[in-house]
Amino acid sequence: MLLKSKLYARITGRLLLLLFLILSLPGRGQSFTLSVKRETLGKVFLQIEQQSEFRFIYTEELLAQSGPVSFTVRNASLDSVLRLCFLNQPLTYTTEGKHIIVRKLIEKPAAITRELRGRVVNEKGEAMAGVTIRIKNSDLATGSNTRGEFFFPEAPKSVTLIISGAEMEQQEIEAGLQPFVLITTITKLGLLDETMVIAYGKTTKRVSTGSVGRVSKDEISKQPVSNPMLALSGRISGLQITQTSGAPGSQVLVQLRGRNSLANGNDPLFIIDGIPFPSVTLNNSTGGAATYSSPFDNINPADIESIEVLKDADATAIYGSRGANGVILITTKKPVQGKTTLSFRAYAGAGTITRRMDLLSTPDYIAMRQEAFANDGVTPTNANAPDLKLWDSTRYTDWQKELIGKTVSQQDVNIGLSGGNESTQFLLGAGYHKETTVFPGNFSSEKIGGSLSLNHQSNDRRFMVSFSGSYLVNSNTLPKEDISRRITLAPNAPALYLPSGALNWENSTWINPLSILERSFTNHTEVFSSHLTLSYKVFTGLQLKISSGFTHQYLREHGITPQRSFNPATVSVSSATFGHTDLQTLITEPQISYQYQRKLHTIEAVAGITIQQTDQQNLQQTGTGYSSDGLLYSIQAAATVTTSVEADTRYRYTGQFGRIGYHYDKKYLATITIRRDGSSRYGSANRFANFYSAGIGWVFSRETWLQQQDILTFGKLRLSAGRSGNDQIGDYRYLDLYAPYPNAYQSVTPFYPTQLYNPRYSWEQVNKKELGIDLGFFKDRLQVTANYYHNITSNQLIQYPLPATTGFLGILKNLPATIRNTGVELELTGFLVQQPKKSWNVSFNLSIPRNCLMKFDGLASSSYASIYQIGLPLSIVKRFGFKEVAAATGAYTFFDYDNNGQLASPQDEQRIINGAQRYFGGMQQSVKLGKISFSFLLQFVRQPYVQNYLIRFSRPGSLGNQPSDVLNRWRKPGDITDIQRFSVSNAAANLAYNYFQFSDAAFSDASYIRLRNLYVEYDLQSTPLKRAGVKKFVVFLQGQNLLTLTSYKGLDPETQTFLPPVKMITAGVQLNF
Amino acid sequence: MKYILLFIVCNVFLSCKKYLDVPQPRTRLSSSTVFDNDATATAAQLAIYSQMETGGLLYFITAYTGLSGDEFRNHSSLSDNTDLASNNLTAGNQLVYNLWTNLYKYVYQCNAVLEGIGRSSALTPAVKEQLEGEARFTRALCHYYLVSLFGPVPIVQMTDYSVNAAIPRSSEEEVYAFIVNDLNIAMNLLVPGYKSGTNMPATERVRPNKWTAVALLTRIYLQQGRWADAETEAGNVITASGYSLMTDLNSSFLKGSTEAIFQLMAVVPRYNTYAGANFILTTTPSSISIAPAFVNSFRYADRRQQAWTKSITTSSGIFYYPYKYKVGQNASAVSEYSMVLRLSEQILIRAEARAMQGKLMEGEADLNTVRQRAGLPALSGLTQTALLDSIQTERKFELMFETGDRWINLKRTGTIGSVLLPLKGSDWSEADQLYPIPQVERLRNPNLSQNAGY
Repeated sequence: MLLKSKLYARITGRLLLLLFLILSLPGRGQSFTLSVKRETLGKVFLQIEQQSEFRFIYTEELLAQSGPVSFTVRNASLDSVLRLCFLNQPLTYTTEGKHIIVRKLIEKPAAITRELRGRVVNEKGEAMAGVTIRIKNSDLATGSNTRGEFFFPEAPKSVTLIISGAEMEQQEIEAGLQPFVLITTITKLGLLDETMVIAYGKTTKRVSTGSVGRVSKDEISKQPVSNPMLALSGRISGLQITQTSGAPGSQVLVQLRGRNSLANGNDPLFIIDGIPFPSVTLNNSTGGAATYSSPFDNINPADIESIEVLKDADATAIYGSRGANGVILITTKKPVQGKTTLSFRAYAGAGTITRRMDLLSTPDYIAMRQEAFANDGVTPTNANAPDLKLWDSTRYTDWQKELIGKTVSQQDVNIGLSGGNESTQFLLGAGYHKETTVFPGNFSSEKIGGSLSLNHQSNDRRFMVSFSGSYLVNSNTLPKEDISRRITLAPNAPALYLPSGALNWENSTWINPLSILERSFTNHTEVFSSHLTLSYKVFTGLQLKISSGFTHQYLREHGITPQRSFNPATVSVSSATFGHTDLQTLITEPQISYQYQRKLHTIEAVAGITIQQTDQQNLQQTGTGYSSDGLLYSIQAAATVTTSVEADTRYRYTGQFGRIGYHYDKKYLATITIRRDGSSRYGSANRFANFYSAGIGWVFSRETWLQQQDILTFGKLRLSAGRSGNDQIGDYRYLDLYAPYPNAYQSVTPFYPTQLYNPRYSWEQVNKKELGIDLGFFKDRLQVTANYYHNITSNQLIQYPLPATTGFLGILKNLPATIRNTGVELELTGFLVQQPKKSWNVSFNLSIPRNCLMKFDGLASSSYASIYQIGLPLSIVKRFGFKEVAAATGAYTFFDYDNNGQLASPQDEQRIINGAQRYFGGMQQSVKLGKISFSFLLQFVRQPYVQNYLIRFSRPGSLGNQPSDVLNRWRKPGDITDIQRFSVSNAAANLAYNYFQFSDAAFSDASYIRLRNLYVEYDLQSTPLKRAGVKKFVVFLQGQNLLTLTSYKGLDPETQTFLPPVKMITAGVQLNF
Repeated sequence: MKYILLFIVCNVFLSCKKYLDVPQPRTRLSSSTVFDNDATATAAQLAIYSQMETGGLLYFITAYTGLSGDEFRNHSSLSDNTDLASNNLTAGNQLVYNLWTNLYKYVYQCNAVLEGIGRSSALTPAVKEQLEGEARFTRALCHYYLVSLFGPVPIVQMTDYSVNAAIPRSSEEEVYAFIVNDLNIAMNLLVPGYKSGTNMPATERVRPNKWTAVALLTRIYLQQGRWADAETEAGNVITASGYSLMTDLNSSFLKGSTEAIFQLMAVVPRYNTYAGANFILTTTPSSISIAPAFVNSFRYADRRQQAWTKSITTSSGIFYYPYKYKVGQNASAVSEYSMVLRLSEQILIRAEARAMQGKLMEGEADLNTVRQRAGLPALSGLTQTALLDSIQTERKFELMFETGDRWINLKRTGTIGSVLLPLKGSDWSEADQLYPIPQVERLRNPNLSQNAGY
């Protein structure tokens, strides 16, 4: 109110001033009566001079420019007469005493101003706030308020307005002399003005001072993946996504901008609709296929609206103690107003492993074995060579086909129902996903889930409530072992089954791999999450909000090792593992936000409090000695029960945060964030810590000196710096705790001290700095973003090594060890063709991360001594240095770094291998041609030193198949090759091979280019269908991991020594009513 | 409105501190609650015995000293093992480091018990005394093995890591004095009877009693040359009620053995003793068997060869293994416990103490008690030197494969060089009788000096 009245006061003031000026024009007292018709000015002046004592001063040339005048006045003042004379003349006059001086009219910027009001709406007629309205050829500009209105008190009479703002095309509007303009914006396609979700708010790339990456539902829905993290691969710079195994549901590692912590968690913070989502597996031990299950597999990708990746200090500091490793915000789909719509999307398809290895054929294999025996002078016997003596030497089985060659089938269905009126909207969703495995047998992962989301707002739109709840059940059964390791079976190994259908053990001469598949591991996960937000708009700009969430994740594990999985001829013990994990997170965040706009000044502020509690219970027990395989689901039936994991932890967390953002004319941007955090993971003395950041931005393209060209249409420089922390250290580590010892003594469960306790340890801190530039060329059709970041982690919280005289080998302590992560990121997006029926977009991203351990006092005496080295990345490993195959003996030889004549670990493990990804990125193209649209994503990774197949293969010559490279082996003295002699029992060769597996030779280039995704869509929508109520009807084809270019020595360069990912082709349909 | 908001915010901020005080995990106990009652305080002490047995402390001391000495032959190709057997130890030896680490781990736990019960006012006085006695005994036992294996070692008598992380070594004399002090206190706190897990009288001898402390004390007296004290105290143990030699040698190491003074009970599933599970051979040995020279040194009539050693013949030859413990892996029932201290040693200690004091007749009598059980004829009329020699020989066979007794006695009597030099040849040097202070320890604690020769 205050504001408004001030404005009125000013306007009235100006009007009064104008009036006063008019009235104070010198009155001449004298009156004239004249009647002229098409007379020249000279003649009119004469008449005036005749009726008064005024005299005109002018030149003939001046008057020659004037036109004739016609008017009739009676008893008029001099001024009114003069005004009529000079009306529409290129001349003007001034009076000096009795002289009237005639001059040429000099054009001035419209001397007389006026008020201009207007309103900005979008195509739907909804008010657009925050739009900048600028008057062309002037310095005047203002912004629209929340009702879309704007006001210029002193606009020139005839104006052209330039309209710009978020998500809209810039446009020029001829307002002419109209006092009121209604402007309809044109929604823009492009990245600069796309809404991005950030911590406790939204922004756009145009005005953001932080570094944020985004993947939208359109990109996610193109990919037939069950784990939404896999949909991020190759799409966001700085984000490294690694699938650890091709088994469904297996762990996916997510790392943003490198490793920050030596000993503690390096996972980004994951937040789904404001609720932190645990990134750590729920498994109590390795589960199916020897990997952990990924918690993200318990999210239905179809529920996701967008995933935002917050990278720099400016974007993450508001998450304080949890923001060190970056933040990944997952926003689920929200209901929208409109007609009730039923959407149906389903796809199904099949796939196989991405890559196979080239292994020996039976003849080559038999020849290898014979050569090995001959080399060593050993006679093959039934015991040492069943493959030569007992098994059919002509038999051939392709074990890759047999064990990991099955075709995977995948089905996915999602149904959504949404709609609502202006006050209440809803969205109901249900999804189902099933995926089988490449292993023989009935292994699969099956997910079913439902969600409900409701929005309501009061009639005056001040009060809003939104609720969402979802429930998902994920049941995943896999073999316990990753049997891709068994592809090393001899190619002439016996048949899997006896004619009777029973497993063939071939007189106990081998382990039938199918028996291994009898050992299964089931993860049954249930995830319930709900979220409630209440908000109240106190007045325009000020909003109170409380956002609360509850998540419950429950995992039941059941692994069995039945009697039937063992050779019946041997004595064996059956066992079953039972695990439970129960994780509950409750969070509430009261917030207050304020938005203020005045002309070109925009201030956005938010402040709030976080209160969070996470309770976790874990229990894992193993029962052994079952009398029957039928009882493996009972723990009571076990002869012995041991408890391997039992935990009950509570984690509490509070935070107070505030952020204030200011921008002037979308040209000068600044953001300041502060956060004070408290975490129960620290002792009472160090529970609280402060985190902060500042970011500034300069949109230099809005400077006038860049307005005259139209090549560079957007340019912004960003700079941010700040500090965030890491509290992924586990609970209760500051307490002096006694744990039960498993082996009872005198029937008493003993208690032993678990750790030296240090109540004084404190937070790991990451100081982040980033310099970024965002450029838009050719009306922003080509957009370029480049970032350079420089993050230093200090105060490393590690198990500080202590002498054993302290009773333990270390204590959790802050060490002034520092790690530096630097990197360059580049993103290019081109909207090459942008037409309603035709479009072609290209995007490209590249990340070049570098990591370095800068400082680590006492590294040499710590347990990290053999792992890390100062000045080198954390990703190094130290191995023996492979020299050559000795031409004389045919055995591998190695560098004796300490020159003591013998090879020993760790003294001679001095070859440093950096396993890091040197650079990675992706290139995506999407094309739309009428009814057909297609897109593909090529992902590339440069990783020159990755563990190759060696670790999975035994010595060439021994029982078991080999990569066909071994044919190039040493055969006789003098041979120069890189594969040692075939050997069965030569001690020197055996030892050399053991060293070889732990040498740099076990690492090779696993760089790859992968066609990560291919998507083709055909639009079947037609007028008759439209009339029948069909809103959308498309069919599509999806391909994932279709093509991989690599020279990797092994199965797949991404999963490396584990089961390769699946290359999947699916076809589907989307139908909306 | 402003004030209400301010009020709310202030209140929330103030309660934040309190909010973060989470209760301790319900599956763990904090050190204060552990010593809040008799049962859990006792459980903290019992944890040490359970860990000692689970971790095979006695077995590893036996095995390593046996390899370094004359009892065992090495079959492992790992350099840590071959270095032990060839007396070529380096400071980086992982096996030696493990022994050091485990012994000091138990010392820490003893100190934690001592400090815990010292702070607690909730314990029954009798239980408090029992636990203090046990913790002091156990601390003394660990220091005894440390000083025996490493020579001068740090005396650790508190849990404060800032002190223990920079602690220097104390001389052997100081360490022995510390042990004697602990044992003197322990023998006065402990009662002659054995206790159960609930601190009730028990028959099984798996927690130290008064005589356990005394029995260890007599060893130290022997080391210190306090012959009269050794004689008196060993005599007290020998005459204490409940202790007698088992007539059948095969019964000496059973859990009900009357010659046991202190045993560690079987705790590992499907194991009886760690030694039984690991010494008993079922195939060609891959780590340890008895050295052939040791086997050959048995006298013909010695029944202990039959009862306490055994052999296996494989395609690679004949191998002997310790058979004091007769139950190997995958045991279905528990019949044997690991022996820490037993009566025959006390008899031999008294024999030596008496011989040293010139009480040759009494010394002979004690020696003959042990000989007779082994089926050897009684000796008489020996000179002091001959008697002492005979006692050492008897000790060799009576206490073979028992927690380094052979190695420690060879060192104590100064005969180690003369015994090992013929066996080991140029591998042997006098400096080898002490193990090296682990290299990692010296890196982490610069105040630790190294033994000569490393």
